[in-house]
Amino acid sequence: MSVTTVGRGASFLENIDKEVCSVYEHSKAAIVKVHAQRLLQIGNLSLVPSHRIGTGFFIDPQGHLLTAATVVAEASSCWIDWNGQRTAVRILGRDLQTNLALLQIEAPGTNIATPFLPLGNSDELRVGSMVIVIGFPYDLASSPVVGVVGGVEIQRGNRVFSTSHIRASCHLSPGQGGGPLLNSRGEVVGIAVAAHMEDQCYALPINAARKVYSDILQFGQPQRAWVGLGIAEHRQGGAQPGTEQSRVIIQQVYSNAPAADAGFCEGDVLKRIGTNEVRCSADVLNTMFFQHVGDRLDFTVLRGGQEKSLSLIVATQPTEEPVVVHTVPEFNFFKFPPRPVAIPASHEQ
Amino acid sequence: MDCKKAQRVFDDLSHDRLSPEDAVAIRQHLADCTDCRVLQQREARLQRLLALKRYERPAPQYFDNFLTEFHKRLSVELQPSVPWWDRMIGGIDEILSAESMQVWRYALASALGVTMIVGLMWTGVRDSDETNDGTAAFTANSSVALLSPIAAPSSTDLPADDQLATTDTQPVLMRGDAESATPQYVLDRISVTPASYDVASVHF
Repeated sequence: MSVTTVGRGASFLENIDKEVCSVYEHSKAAIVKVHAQRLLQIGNLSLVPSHRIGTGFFIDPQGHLLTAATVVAEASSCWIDWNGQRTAVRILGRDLQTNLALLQIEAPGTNIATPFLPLGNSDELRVGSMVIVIGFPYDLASSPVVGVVGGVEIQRGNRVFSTSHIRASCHLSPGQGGGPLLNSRGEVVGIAVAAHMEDQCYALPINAARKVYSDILQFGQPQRAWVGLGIAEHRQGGAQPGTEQSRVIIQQVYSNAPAADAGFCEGDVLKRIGTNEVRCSADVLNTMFFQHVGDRLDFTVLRGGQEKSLSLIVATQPTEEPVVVHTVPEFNFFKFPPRPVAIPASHEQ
Repeated sequence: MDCKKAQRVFDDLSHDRLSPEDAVAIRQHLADCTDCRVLQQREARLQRLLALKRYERPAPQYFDNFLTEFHKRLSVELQPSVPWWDRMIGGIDEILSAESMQVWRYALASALGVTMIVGLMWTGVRDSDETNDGTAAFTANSSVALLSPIAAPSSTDLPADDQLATTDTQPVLMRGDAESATPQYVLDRISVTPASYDVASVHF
């Protein structure tokens, strides 16, 4: 096939072409097809109700793999296609909230150094940055998909992520779930966890994934930071979240929680967590996602027109539904525009 | 201020219908009295919930044919529903109790019993055959894979018997193995339906 090249445009495309091919060639050895099988055992008879296939990738030479939790959810056995062979892997942990699973190849008594992908810094991504997702669409060989970062979002449709996700314009196919999102240097900056419409995909940022898999390695499961507060976002005049007109107000303080002991009151306006400014609920979720249980955390709230600092020790999320304690602020009733706030049914007991 | 008097004016307090002096007095009482404070909070929450309630009104033609529709629905709901297995057993019972089937009844039951026994025996034989052959062959390949992942397996370089031990998590070939289940290629999809709840209200 002959291609006519015209001026500088052709050389620009050629450069992109070389870069994408180079990233793919350097990365493909560390990207594998992940199989997960769920078995039903009825006496001697074993039935296979599901066989799920997705994509995963090595993150270190010890054979640790990351993939999407939905690939291996409820799996009783799991393996990867690696070097043309079927290699057993075990599930070290999975987190359905972030849709991330950590696996490791089963190689007892051997010290195999697996190829792995270098991890980048997802905070460096900007809207317009070029990204490449590599995965196994259907039963085909691994294929790269090129796109650009469209934004960083915490909610789409009826899905609220536990932390902000990268939205990229990549057309992914079934089977590519769990594939790495690479930057132009070939570093992993995210994990493709979901697709939206025809040509958009959502990736869990690698900085968030680091927190989750470190927790899994250390504690066996992700640790969720909990302080015991319910917040509501108030926006004046239909303002966008995160603007000057939006603010986060504490609506509930749970009893027997660190926040109750620290002296939080309903009606406090949350200004800062640590050094991070708080203007919308997403700021709170993003900050709390990276907190470790047992860490000391400083809050700045606005109460009665004056800033107040409160400190607490982050606890782990209770398994039982906490009880709400209502505290009356120091009689500086806030005069916000009347806006009904839906209270979750689980808290109306 | 005593509690009874304070509790009578909670509604006025929340709607700013009290004089400034009375409002200050009530709030002072709330600061001191836990019982009243809890009651006042409950009332405020109740009012918030009531504000969210919709006022529903039936369509204008709803009452036109109300009685007929009511009796029609009632009769449908009162009809006993017979499950399919009851109907099936009833049908078989009817066939077998027919005069012409009296002779064949025992022959039919015996044939069914023999068929079940043969079927179970055949299943057991196939199970043990496949498990024996399949596991051995697969274990040999997996051991090669785990010990030297770069080398492609071949029929001539199978490891010795002592290398064939499997671990608990290694997949085992069995009846209805992966090939028999239709593979599901995974890619989570985000629904495009409008949000039923908002990220604006969260708990952490």
